[in-house]
Amino acid sequence: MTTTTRVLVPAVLLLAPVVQAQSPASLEDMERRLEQLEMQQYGKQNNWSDRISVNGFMTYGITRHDVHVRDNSGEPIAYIDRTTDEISHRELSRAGVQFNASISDQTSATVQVLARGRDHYDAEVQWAYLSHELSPSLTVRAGRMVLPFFMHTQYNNVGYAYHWATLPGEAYDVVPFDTMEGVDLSWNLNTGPVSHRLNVYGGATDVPSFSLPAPVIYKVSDLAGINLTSQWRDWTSWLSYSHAEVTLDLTDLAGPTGLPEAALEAPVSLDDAQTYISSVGLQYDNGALVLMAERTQLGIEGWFPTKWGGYVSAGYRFGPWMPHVTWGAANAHGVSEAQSEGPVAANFSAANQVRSKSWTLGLRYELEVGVAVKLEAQRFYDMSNDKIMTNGLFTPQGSAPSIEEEEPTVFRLTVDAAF
Amino acid sequence: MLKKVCAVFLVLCCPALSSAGMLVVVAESSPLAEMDRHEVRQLYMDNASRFDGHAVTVLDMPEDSQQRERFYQAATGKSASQLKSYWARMIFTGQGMPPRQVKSARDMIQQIKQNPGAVGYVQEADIQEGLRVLLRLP
Repeated sequence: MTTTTRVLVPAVLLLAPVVQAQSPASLEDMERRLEQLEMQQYGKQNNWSDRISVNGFMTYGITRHDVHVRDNSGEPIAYIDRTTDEISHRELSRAGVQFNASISDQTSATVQVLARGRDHYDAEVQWAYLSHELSPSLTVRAGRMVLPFFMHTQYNNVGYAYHWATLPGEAYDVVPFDTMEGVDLSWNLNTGPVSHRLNVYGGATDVPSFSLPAPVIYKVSDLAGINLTSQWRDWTSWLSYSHAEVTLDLTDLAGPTGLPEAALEAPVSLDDAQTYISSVGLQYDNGALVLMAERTQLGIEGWFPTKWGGYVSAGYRFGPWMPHVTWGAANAHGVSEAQSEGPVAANFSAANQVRSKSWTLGLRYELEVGVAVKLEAQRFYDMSNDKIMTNGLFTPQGSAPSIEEEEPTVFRLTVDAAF
Repeated sequence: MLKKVCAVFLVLCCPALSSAGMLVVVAESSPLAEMDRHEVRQLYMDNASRFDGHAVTVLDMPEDSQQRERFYQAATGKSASQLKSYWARMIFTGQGMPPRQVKSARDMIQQIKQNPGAVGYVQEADIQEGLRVLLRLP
């Protein structure tokens, strides 16, 4: 207690009866004054908190698989390039923070920064855009945004937003698309009891890939897409289609492959190859029962195989507990067609093929509102057939022995928070 | 004064009454006439700024409030955790921000009374003059 307070408190107590005697205030008057004070206080906070908001999310996770087989160079077999048979604390761990500032009633600026354990927590701006409300139902945004290719891609780093520890790999890890620079337009509309959000966008991006003998960059230009989210009672549907032109210069692979540069020029290198990415999904959530299904597809003109992935998932909430089960599958075709482009193209096509199926059993527990603990085991099978010889989403055959007989299982434990 | 004493007596003696339905309310001067459960759900899940051609401000109770839990359970069938998860999806994809949260039931009533465009909810026991009920949620 400060000296001023020490003096003031007795003074107020002494003077109180006098003040009361001079201006007897009724209970109603006092209540009204209190209300006014509360409103003034609220107004001050409101000005500030209405203009700027800060939200965040984070995940701490551990993961490993159970295949104790080495690849051809003696390294551990890896699931999606990174997870091995040793526990990783970094692969799934990440943190993000988002700042949103209202510039006017119609215009705002948003920046979201993400730091992933697998990138040594180097912060990366995932979203940075200006948003302007053209009308109450029509909003335009410009800047950097996460690509809206599939049903859950835009919030794939916000683990608290979905029931799995990680999104189904067959649909979400086959294509490493991430962010774009561009513009999007969203229109919210209702048709009877069904509410829709129609989103169109255009932009460009670069996608690094590590599936060939050396890292390469797919340059994605003239990227344009449309997606529609429709909601009716407990049902949500999702449709999306995107188109782009992809350029891939492979002449830099002459060194690592020992091939002459001429053998790596077009049609092996891609020059504005027509590309499409599509997805269709459905969700049902009545508060207890959750059902989800989605199918995604990617096609690039030329030797690149056409890939599709999908999953069906069901879960049930018992209070804070939610057990769930998911079946996932991915496949590719067009590998034999690539042989018409020559042996090099056929080899690269084979290196990009995928075939995998899996069952995932998981349990989500709500520790408190905003914090969830998730445990998950995903067992893979059916990674090869007479045309495709892969190890699913693990280190491919060619670089490693076949692991299908090992019945590989990936384990994950995460704690996800949103705040 | 007698009314207040009666109200306090009723609240203390009839806990069943105080935990009865939630009422979706506006100011008496509000242009809004009525709303069904589906519209209330859409208004709150979209944090809509317009309803039926009128500008509206959707008001919400604090996240840890029991009244909020009861309101959303009745209007949307969703728990506080499910709402948190839903808004995480909306916030981090820039699709929307949740309704503005007031500090208390008293604050909710004050703000509704002072803003003809405000829509909020109160428990049945808190209904008072100056508020108009658009929907009673069981």
